[in-house]
Amino acid sequence: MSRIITVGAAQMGPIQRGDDRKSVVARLLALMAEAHGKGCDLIVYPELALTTFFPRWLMEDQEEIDGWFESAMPSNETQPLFNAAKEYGLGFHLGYAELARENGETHRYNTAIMVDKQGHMFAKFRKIHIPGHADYEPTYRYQHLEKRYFEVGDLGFPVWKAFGGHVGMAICNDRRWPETYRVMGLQDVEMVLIGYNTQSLAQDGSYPAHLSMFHNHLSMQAGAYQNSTWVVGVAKAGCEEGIDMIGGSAIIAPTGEIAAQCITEEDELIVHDCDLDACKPAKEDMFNFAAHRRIEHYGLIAERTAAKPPSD
Amino acid sequence: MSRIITVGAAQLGPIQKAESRASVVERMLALMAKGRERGVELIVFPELALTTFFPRWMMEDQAEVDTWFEREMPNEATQPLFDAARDYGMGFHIGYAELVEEDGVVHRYNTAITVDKAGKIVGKYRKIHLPGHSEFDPDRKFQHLEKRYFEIGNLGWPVWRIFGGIIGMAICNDRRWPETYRVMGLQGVEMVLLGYNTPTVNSQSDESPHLRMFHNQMSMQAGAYQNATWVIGVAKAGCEDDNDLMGGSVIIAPTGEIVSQCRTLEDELITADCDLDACNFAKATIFNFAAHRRVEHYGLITERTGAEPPPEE
Repeated sequence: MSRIITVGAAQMGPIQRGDDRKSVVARLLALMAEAHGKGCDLIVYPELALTTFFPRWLMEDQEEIDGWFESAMPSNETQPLFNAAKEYGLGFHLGYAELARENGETHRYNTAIMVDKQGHMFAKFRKIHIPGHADYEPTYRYQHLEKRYFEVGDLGFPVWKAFGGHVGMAICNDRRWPETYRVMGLQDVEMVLIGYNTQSLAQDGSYPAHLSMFHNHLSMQAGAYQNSTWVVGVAKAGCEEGIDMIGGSAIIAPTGEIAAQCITEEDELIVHDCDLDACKPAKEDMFNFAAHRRIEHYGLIAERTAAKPPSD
Repeated sequence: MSRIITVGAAQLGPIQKAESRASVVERMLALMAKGRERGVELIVFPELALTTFFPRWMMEDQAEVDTWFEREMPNEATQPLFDAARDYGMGFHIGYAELVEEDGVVHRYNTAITVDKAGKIVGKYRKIHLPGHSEFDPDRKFQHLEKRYFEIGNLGWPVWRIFGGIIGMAICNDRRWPETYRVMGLQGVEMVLLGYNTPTVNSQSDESPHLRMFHNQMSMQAGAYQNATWVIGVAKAGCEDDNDLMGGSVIIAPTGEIVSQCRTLEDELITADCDLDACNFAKATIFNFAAHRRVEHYGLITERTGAEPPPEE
């Protein structure tokens, strides 16, 4: 048996501050056309795929901040993506900054959506593990103010029956936390879609640069293996406004093996035939959760937020 | 600042079915003597380090099964390890099959202990993630009957303030489960000691041996990185009674990097100066749990044992 989704991981090169959404969407459409030519069922774009990674700057003016957010999806600028999805019969995953008005309140989230082959948006995830800091840090070589600009996501980690399998989403820093994959693993996830914007160098130069890529892959490979799921991790890469970001977008098999990987820091499409039935052997054996998990010993994970050392 | 523990990972080569405990202890004492020359403060031996990996065989006779277990620790065979620890001022970690009578009931666990530099047992752990199966399985190339011979550990994953740091333990298959490391990470763990006996080939599939080594090391590296802790993973390796076990014992830094690795399938000692303060940076930044964990979204991890697919649309 096999259940194949042909997936395109559409890495993006840098988006500069002055690039408008229209020019970015034109790049996304070019990748979509390439994916269509290669027989993809699903194309995966990165986190905050419509603009430069704006949390690297401190902004005080809320109007200026909101200029980086989308208040509608689709919008005039993004409608062509939905049209192309329908025309090609090609689903897509896209990350963007979401300005939501719900029950008379305004919320700002770091959000990702899935769109089906009819161009219909059927799934939304809001990033839960918001990294960085809320206040300006004068000693850092760049800022990482996601905790200032985004609220913690309020939708959990749902899994959808989509594209013939069980598909979930996470965003960037979520990929470093094993809880992310496990909550979806417990919903029998077979493919996790993840976009990221990750700086090549530490904010304060405190660790060697090569570790950024190692940690990127290690986290996603472990998440894939330990839950026997495909993981599709897609970067926005290259030098944005003087700040370098890693590439290394990867399609990772349920064994944790990297099946395909980008080698540039530019717009680049990699394609793999992902057989969802390849999740089955480990889900029935090594990671048969029903047979092996011991939740009576896991209590601290959901009870305790912070680390608390043993008493003296 | 630095808080260094010089650790020795003491991989053991195969122990054949006929080999006596006295002979195995001799081999361990030789590794301790070598460790002493290198200034080792803590030497880590593997899981079930005193015998061959007996769960590969089906045994019906409980008296025979119990010959693989230790009723006391230390006992006559293992007392020399405790004596050497005290003589050398060298702590050790060892795994063994534990037979214990508690409140009039006999229990059998896959157990590990940590012994301090004075030769005193300071920590005990009983394996929680027992792999394998409990009944004879004719479809397997070899048996893996841990679920038959052992009960699930009843001590959780405590951590202890020993050797100048915060130290915990896990055993073999525990290392594949991120929950293992996280429960200790939430207690500020700085070093996890774990031993393993892992067959080189899968008993039920043609999975590549290289994948199995990849999974061994990746699980420990991810656990180290995601909790900013040292991990010491120590194999019993080589061909035991015609069954191959993988080696690849490693000392892993809080960055997830392998800083030292065994190259043989024999008795082999690797050492590293493990600076516990190397855990501090990530514990204060990317894995500052207080700042970043969102327990309100983790409920399923402790509420649900098995996987349940999403509902139909």
